[in-house]
Amino acid sequence: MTIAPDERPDLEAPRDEASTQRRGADLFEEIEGARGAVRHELDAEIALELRDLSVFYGHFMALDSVSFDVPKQEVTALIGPSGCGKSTLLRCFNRMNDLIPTARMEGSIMFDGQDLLGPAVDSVGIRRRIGMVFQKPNPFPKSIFANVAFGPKINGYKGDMPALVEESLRRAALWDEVKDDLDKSALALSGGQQQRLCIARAIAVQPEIILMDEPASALDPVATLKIEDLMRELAEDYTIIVVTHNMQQAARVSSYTAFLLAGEERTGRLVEFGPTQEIFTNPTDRRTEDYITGRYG
Amino acid sequence: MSGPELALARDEAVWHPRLRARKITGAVFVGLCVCSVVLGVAMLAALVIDVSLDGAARLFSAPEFSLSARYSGYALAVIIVLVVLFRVLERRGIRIDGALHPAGLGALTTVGLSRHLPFALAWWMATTIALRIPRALGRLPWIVLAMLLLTWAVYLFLDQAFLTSFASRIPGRAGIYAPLIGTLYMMVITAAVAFPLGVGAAIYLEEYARQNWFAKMIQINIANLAGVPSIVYGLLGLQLFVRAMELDRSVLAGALTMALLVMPIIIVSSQEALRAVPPSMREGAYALGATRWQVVWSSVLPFAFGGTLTGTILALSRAIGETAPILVIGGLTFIAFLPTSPTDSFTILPIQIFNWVSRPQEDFQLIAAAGIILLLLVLLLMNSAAIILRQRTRVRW
Repeated sequence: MTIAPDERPDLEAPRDEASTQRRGADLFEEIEGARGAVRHELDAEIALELRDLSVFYGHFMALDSVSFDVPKQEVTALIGPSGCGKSTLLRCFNRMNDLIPTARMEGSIMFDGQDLLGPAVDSVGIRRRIGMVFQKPNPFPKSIFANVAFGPKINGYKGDMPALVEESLRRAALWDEVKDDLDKSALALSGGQQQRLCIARAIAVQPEIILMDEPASALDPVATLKIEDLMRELAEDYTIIVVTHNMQQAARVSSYTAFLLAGEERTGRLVEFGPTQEIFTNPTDRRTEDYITGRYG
Repeated sequence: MSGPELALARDEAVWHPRLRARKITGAVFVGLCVCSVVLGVAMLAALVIDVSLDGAARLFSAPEFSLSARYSGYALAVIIVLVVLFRVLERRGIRIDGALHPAGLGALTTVGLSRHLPFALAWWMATTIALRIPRALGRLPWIVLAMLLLTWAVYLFLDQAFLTSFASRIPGRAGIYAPLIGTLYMMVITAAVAFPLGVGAAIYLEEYARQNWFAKMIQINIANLAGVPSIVYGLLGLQLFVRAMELDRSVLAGALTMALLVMPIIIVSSQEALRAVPPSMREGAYALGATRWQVVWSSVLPFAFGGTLTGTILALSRAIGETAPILVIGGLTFIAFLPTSPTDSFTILPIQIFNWVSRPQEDFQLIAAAGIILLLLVLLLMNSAAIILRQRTRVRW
């Protein structure tokens, strides 16, 4: 993301005397020096502990030294302009970046006493415990039942499959709509229903954390509200990390928010992390305030 | 909200992830896929070595062969030009399956030889229409109609004894039983060999291989193998299966040669089918904790299977009309018995037809025309099956 110097909100902002003094080089350094800028100390139980997490695609650095703690059984939102590395960050948690041959991760993500990025950790085993819902609903072109049962089946689930499928669909608030057509193709569902089916599919393998990559961006407002309600309900049992472009959505559903921003060279850095209410009403960093009030990207 | 089932489901006692076992299964299958690719490459190497060593010795050491060498050069150039032309036409979306389809041309020339020109022209047109109309309209009735017409024609021209009699030197008693069974026998073995190998190689190349220069080279070579004239495969089969592996002139040797011939086509069409499955299907399965092989096996292959099968059937329907390779490895033309084991000698429909056409008696040429109808019928059945499969298994994403 490139911002011409005269468009930089910091230059025009009269509220901060010091910032008017600063010239381009200082500003650049400010963005550069963002590593671990504001790290909120959590009172809540911690699900994931990020320390100096950097991601590279070949020689390109996509994320630089991100450190913060993700609270357990809360909704944490990752916000920031396009290309700031939100999705890259999200894909570190379940090692989806491993599928890109050139991707490389440094630093550590502690989860349940082990480093997710460590060599001993099996990414396949991790993905059962850390589930994911994608931007565009991607149900398999199979029956609704088969979609939900897919995960348990490949993971060797030996319990009562119909009960698990029903429970997962109930938790995804989809059971009442589909209970009579479990044998119908999942592709016959509406977009919102498909996305809830994908959530049910993710729940079915009983993960501890659910990652959501802009889960409502392809949906209409009504379906979006349903997904948001669902996220709040699911947070009672699961840790949810959601990437969103929609500031209102972040404010509505999340308890904690991380704001990321990319500098000139498109490397994403964490600017601020804290309780959503604080981030939205009283941000410590000027750039967070500018983004939330709509002056950035 | 959290019901008793959920608590039960989270209990580790009901989950048996067996990560190690799943990975080993995956590794075994990938190993098999790698073997397929290795076989493909070995095939190319054998082809090149076989042809260039034998051929070059003749071409360059003996001066009296120089004239024929020049003519074979011309012929090769014409073949290359034709192949390139057909490829270009295909790229532009012009199908060459209709009037120029080998089966149609074969019918025209062969029946034309029997001096029944109107009959030959009628069959050529029938083939053209039958091959084109179902594709254009995508309608089952047309296929059924075409097949009914053909069946009716077969009944009109032949008595059933034709199908159940062996070859004979008396035209009235000559039948097509042995080549018909020989063809079916050979095609079954060919399919059994070529389908798993071709799909395995496609899976490896498409889902596992890294995109480096080596993979690209293999890729290009396999695409080229699909265009190699079939007689070259016949030479390879003669050297490799008949002589080196001492399979003699058996059904097995013929089937393996045909398998080599159709494998590149199966690989290329399977790769295309795999590529058509959107990446989001793979991601969705990975995100649920699937191993790489589980992703391929349960969330890519099922959705590519229709395309794979269609490609295989079309490849086999090319093989069924191929005469040259079997002629080279020595498919007999006159046998009065059925092959009962894969090591028995055999003959196939096109060779029997060729034999009948080359006889001077007019009666035999009529029998040849009947044989062609039968061959076309089998071909049409297979192509129809492929079209129906393609329509049935098409997934709209």
